[in-house]
Amino acid sequence: MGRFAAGDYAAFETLYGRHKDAVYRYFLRATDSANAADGHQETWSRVVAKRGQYRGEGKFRPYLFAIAHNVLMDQFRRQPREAVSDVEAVADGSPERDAVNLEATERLNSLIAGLPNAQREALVMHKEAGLTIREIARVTGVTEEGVKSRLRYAMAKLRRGMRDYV
Amino acid sequence: MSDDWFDKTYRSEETPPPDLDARILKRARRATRRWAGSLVAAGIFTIAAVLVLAIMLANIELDVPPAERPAAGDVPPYPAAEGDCERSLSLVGPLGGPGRQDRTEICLAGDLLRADISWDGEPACPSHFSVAASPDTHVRLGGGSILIGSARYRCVDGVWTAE
Repeated sequence: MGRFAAGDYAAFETLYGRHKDAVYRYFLRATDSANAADGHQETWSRVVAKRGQYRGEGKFRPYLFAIAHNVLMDQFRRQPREAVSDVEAVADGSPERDAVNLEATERLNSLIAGLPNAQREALVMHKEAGLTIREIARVTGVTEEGVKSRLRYAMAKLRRGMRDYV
Repeated sequence: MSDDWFDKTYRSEETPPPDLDARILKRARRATRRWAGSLVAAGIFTIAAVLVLAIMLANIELDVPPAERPAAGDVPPYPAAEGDCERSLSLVGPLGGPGRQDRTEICLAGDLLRADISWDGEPACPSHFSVAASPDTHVRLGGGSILIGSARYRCVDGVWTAE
């Protein structure tokens, strides 16, 4: 990010390639695909616009997700979230994945989509983006205990919903 | 609390559509280029401003006639005595070099004595200076210098030097 802030476009390409999927999925789990594309694009636009303000303290990913979090909150304010029903399970075509696994994945994605915003966000940041509890707390502005609690509730709900599959 | 079941079941393979990638990368490339362009423009502007300033300073320096430049060292003060002369005196003799007929006009006003020199040829030193004096201070030329009271003012290498 420091190199990009100094005007190196190739550094942005590297950053984008490394983090784009996690950001896109973060929005996809929280909203529909059209809004996910908007949120994803707005997040990266802000990264570009704020490159001069980046101080290089800590890792880039928490910084990136702090921006994504703000974008998502803006989206929620503009358009309160409704139940998401268009989350798609994606098959990768590998032969070892049978129909039961696909169904379980589809079920799990639906359950994640149905979680309360705060729980889902903590879960996606943790499982998808690989952020630590402390980083999630800093990004979302809650205490570490609060993040742990959200994750615990989220996992408990998912486990209950997946009882027939696991 | 083991999350193994979650990690085994959760699959996340979605990726942004290629056209979205292209849009974001294009925008970043444009912004980087614009930013680099503005950096270059700022650099050129700074260099131009420094050059203009340097030229202005050089002109100011060049516009000052040599005889008017403040001299360094042990020099009598420049400010002229103000007001009408209570006492005046005209002296002619070599101050800027042997054989010259430099004219010195002495004017006493208050407690300042001003010496105005009309150089016979190239100015050798600043053409005027003032020193503290009183009505009974003796002034005369001698030995290529101006004697004011007990002090002798001599033009040395373009500088009035008190001896």
